[in-house]
Amino acid sequence: MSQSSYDVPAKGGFSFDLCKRNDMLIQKGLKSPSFLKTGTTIVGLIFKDGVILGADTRATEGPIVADKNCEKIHYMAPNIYCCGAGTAADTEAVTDMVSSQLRLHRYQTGRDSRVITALTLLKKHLFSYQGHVSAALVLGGVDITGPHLHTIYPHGSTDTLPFATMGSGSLAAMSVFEAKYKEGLTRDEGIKLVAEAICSGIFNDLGSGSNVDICVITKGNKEYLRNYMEPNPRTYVSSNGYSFTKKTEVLRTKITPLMERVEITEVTGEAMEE
Amino acid sequence: MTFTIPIDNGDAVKNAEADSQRTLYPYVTGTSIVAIKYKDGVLMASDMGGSYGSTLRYKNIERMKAIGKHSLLGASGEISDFQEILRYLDELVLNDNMWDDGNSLGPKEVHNYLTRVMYNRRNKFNPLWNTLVLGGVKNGETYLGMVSMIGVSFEDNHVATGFGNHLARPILRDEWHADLSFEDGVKLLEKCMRVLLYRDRSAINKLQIAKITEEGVTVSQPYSLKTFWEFKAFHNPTAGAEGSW
Repeated sequence: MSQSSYDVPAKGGFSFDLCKRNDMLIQKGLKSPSFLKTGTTIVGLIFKDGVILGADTRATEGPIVADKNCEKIHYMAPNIYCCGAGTAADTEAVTDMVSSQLRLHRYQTGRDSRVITALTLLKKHLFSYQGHVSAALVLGGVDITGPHLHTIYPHGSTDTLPFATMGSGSLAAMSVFEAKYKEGLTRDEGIKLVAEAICSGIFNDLGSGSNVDICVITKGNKEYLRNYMEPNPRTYVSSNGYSFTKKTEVLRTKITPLMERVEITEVTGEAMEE
Repeated sequence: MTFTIPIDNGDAVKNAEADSQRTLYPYVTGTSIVAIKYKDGVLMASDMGGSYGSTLRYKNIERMKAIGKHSLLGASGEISDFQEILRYLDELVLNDNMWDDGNSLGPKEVHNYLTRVMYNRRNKFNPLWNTLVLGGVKNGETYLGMVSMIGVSFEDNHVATGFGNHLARPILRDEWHADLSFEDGVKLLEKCMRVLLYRDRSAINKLQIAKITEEGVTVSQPYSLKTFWEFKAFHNPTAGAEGSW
């Protein structure tokens, strides 16, 4: 009797094999590892000619700032960018994955990617993981059908909006948008409003901070303004570099540089003889 | 000397009864209060809604009341606890009036009294489930302060409770400045209340604005804010993305 083994095709969707084991470990008292969260303010808005996306640049690990100047606006396609809030690894991985899928799709179809393609790929992936992939995204771009702006929640639901905010600073940023958004903003007005909303998140939310990144996408053109605004510059104690107590009188100052500065002057004239 | 704490099992019955008297969760709640100092005194805004969980049960609750001659108290949180606090303050003001010495309780004194009450109740694990905003003017000095249900108390130029912390504070931090005129102050408060109306699910479009100056307290008649829903993108949101929502 021959025993033939059949190749069962892999079942799709989330694999629940380890869930029972994880439950048992948690009951026994295991603390699951905490994630590096981006604790963020991300915003997007539609203006007259396209879409403007904005983000802060702080990545937190619990109460500590892990990265003071990280990049939260991810490239998806030449005409589509995506801001990510939530677990940094999740947003990075999911946007990278969909970006590759979009590229392959572009090669296959020979056309520019559409924003709803990215939207559908992202939402299908996130839904199939039932919210365990903790990525909250603001997806924006301009394609052949016009400018689009969407928000995607970790469980896979999406919204199509004229202005959107996500992340821990979303309420602070949304209060600025709700008070000041109008239709038909020009590019400069739009950038100013996005910067204001991100600053509102930076200064009023503890999970957001450091600098403002902005990305402006219009038909056929995109501008990635990294560190557009730096409202939290590093300050130094004294411009002199030294400080003595008030009673000390400085008699003479001599500064000896540690490295010699060499000045190279080009002398026009005869070239060296061979 | 050693101290021993007597353990008496008869207390178990008393403790069980005492346990059931403690506040565990709020039932009928009021949402945010926003208040600012302006040129002549303090302006405070609140809506008139009382929610019972996720139902909007009461739509005519005044959550701002005058206290004595010099103060205005606004409360968010459990409405019954707010009414209890008003009774305590009534007694306080009455006793003060009985002295009949020409002196009257100012906002600083009322704020201090409320802080003590809230903190002591919290220490007994039986809090008054409110965040209170106390504003007033006495002898030309404007005062605006806040006490929370755990006894955190401070004073500032502008305060907000509940959802107002997240939605109104950023606007106030950006746009408040000293010596606002009455009209500018009302415009600023309305800006905050409009954002709260859009984004707080327990807010209703029926608000009152109260003003307290050296002359006294005036609470406006209830009115509603104009809202704008005509963004083109809201008319047909999925025009560009068929099949999504």
